[in-house]
Amino acid sequence: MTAIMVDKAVTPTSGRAPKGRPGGSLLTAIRTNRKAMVGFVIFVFFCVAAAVPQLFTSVRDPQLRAFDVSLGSSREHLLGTTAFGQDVFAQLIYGTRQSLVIALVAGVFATALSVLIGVSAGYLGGVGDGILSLITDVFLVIPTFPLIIVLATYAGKGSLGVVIIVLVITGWSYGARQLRSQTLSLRNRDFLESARVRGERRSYIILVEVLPTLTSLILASFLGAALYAVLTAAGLQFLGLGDPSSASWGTMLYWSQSQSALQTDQVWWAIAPGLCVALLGASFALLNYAFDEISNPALRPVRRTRVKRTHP
Amino acid sequence: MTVDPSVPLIETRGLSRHFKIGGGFSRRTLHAVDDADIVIYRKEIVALAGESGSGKSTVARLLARVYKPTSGEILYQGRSLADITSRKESLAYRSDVPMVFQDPFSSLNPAYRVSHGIMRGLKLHRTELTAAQRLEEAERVVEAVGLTPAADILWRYPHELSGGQRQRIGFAQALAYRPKLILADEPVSMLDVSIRIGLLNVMAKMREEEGVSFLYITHDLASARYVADRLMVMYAGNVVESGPMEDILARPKHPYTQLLLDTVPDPRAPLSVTSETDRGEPPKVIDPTPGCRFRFRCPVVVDECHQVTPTLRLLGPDHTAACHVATADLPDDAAH
Amino acid sequence: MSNAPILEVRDLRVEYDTPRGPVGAVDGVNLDVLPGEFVGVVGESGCGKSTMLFAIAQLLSPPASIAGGSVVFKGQSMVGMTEKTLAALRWRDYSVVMQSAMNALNPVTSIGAQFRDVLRAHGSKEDIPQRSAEVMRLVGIDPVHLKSYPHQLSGGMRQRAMIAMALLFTPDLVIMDEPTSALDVVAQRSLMVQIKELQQQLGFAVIFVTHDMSLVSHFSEQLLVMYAGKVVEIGKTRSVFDTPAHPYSRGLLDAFPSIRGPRVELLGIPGSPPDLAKPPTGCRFHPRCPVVMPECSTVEPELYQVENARSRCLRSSPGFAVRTEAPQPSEGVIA
Repeated sequence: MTAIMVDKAVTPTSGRAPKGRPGGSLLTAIRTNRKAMVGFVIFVFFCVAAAVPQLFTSVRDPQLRAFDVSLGSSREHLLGTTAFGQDVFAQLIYGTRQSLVIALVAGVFATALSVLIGVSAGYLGGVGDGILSLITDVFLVIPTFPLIIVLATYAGKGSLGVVIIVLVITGWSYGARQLRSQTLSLRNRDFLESARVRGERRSYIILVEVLPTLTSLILASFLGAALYAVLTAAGLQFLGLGDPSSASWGTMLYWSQSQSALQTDQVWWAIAPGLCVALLGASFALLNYAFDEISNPALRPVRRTRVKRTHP
Repeated sequence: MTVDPSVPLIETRGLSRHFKIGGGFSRRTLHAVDDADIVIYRKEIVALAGESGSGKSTVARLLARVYKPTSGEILYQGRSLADITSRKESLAYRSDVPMVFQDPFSSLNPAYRVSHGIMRGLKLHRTELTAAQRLEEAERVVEAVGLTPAADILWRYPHELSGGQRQRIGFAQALAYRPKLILADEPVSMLDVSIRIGLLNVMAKMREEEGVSFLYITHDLASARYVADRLMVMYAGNVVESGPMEDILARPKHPYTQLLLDTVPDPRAPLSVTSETDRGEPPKVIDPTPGCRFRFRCPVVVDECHQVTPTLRLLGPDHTAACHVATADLPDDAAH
Repeated sequence: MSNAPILEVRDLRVEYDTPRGPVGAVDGVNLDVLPGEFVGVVGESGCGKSTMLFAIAQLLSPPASIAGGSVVFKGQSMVGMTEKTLAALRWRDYSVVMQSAMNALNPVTSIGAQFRDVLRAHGSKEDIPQRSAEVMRLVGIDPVHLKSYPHQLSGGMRQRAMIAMALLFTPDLVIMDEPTSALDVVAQRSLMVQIKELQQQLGFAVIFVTHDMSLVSHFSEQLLVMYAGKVVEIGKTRSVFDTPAHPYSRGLLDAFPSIRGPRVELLGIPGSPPDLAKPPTGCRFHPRCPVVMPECSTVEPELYQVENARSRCLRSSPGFAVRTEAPQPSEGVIA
């Protein structure tokens, strides 16, 4: 027998439309949370840059060596030009697309895999759990960067697809662990037993009864995976394992490093791509805060409107 | 299909459920339920009373087919549950014998509106209804358990309802199947005392108006008396006394029943505190030896209690008890 | 022993900061606790009794805060006290027993280790193992269980271990928030008897919060009945039980099905407690009251003296017709 929790009695509210749960309206939640708002704005900015780069720069092909080399920043070239005569700012803007695509696609697939394996392991228990957990733990423990380097090198340099696949393979296991734990804690809740006693099939219970209660964790997992993807992709490309001729922040880092940009005073070429990676990653992290706070009211910052008054 | 009304809805014979405990190499078994003989007829409320660890919740889960019996059998309208193999028959049984749970704060899925469980249940078990009819039926059962306006309540989320209201939804879910027997596992234990009466009244009303039987599991004899016609008392996995409610209350035969009676909360009655207020707890029955399981707490224990396990014997009309001291005057043949 | 109260609560008000504005959870509670007295506080979930308890113990955290009133414990005003001064008082002079031992006890350390932490944290000079064993024996647990983890003990034993922990420094006041709600009736009875025995042995006062009136009926000297943040009846326990003045107290008492006597259908108290953000006008209980009168929805009753108790009901106000035990329509006019 468990303890009685203090029940906040609710009087019937009139009208048909119910208040809805927190998290039901994401946009309102984001709006009211400052950290999430900042993250959201940054994210939206990058989305716009990826979708319509023409808004930000007049350059049409950022890889074209159209300009004088190694210029400093000026009104024509906001961040100067590269050692090959490309506009740094234009490269930055066009590079957004690739980074965003990698982050979102790898994030989605890694999360899907986490959910599939983590939730099944948690719910099935027994031998199924044993096997799935073993697989999860193996992937968790494998040193990711060396693995990535090996895989990427083996698969041949270049293709965006390879980078994404590698990221998914190395990025799913952490989320799977978390989802498994959460599923385990839910497993003996009465509403699941109620579904079993009702005669529902196991697959129905996992998909319809368990998953919706995990949405905030799944979203957080996704954001975490996206963050991981952005940073790791940049790292891979910096090492030269991406497609060096494509426009992306990571390859900018690669080239600026190989051309010793910092030593030759092309400061922006060296720093700006890194800053963008950090900003995009930060936007995911900030959005993550919002989801934490939405799903767990105890984490919400107290907005005190009055100072505690006491009588002398 | 006409059913002979004298055939009990549920009859268990020698029902037992054991669990293996300890690590992979241990050979210890926990005897949660041993040799339980339980009978429930139509349109009656039977109370199953006992402390935590008495096995009463396990009995409910055995009847709900969450567990399979380790030994013994369960007969539903004369047919053994072990014979139910097809999904269709299994669903039919589940719709006849649903369960209501104890904890109002976890018995409803917080991600869905409260209509979810009811509608799912209707979809699975009342396949003859159309979608519109399902909605109507959902509103009907919600009103039947005293929640109005039904149309409003159905579209709320669980966190918008109080504990008492959520428990009523639990009953509504069960009622939606047109059940014959509802297994109610301590449905009011987690509610404030002032709200319990309301739900017990709902149970009595459902028995009268819908003809539903209940197995009401509780540790509080007063609420059992309020709502039930017959009583079964369990201790450490055994049924120790069974019979008509008023009979047992007037003439309890088993010392454990007497103990439960003494601890019933009644603010108006004078306190009966003996100098040796019972501090014991029901034992975890692991690899038991013969003998009465109550012997360590029993105020009237005799030698025989340590050697021979007592069985249920008839002590009055329909009134049985498993106690050597209580049955001392009966002749020695094993009567049931 | 002096007859001065060790705890004096005057006009205590607690508010919660919500997006909709402040909500009053406790509204003007007055209470005196004498040394060694057992005070019961009874009410439904959400009536503010636990909030009041935490306010007295200075355990409120945002968004709840004390909005007014005073709490004077052993001559010192508690409200507004610094953490440092409070820390000196905590556990030595007063202690708290929580509702669920499983939530209050640390699941990953042994009972003995937790006792040790408490003793050290509050600067005990005594021999730790000896004192720990002593309190365990006081509550009827074999001291060998000091090595056990909370999950290895049964529910009843865990609660008793919580009480033992609260008694480590033999405080003058022990505050208990529904300590028996996780137990079944036999364990509840045994725990209550135990608490009463300890109280008589060690002489501490108890404030015991519960929704179950029967628990305190035999053990408390003073009884408070709370509803929607206000005290609706307060007085000697026997008085409130034998002749409850307030319709709500009567309703609570009637919610107990009897084990003896004829089987009658009971009604409980229909309806549910009000939303404290918008409490009913006049008497807060009037929407659910079986003997409501027209003026109840406009006039806010005070606590009126009725023999050995005080009741917040217009029917108990002076000048009203003689209070009867059964609810009857009003006969007289309020002067």
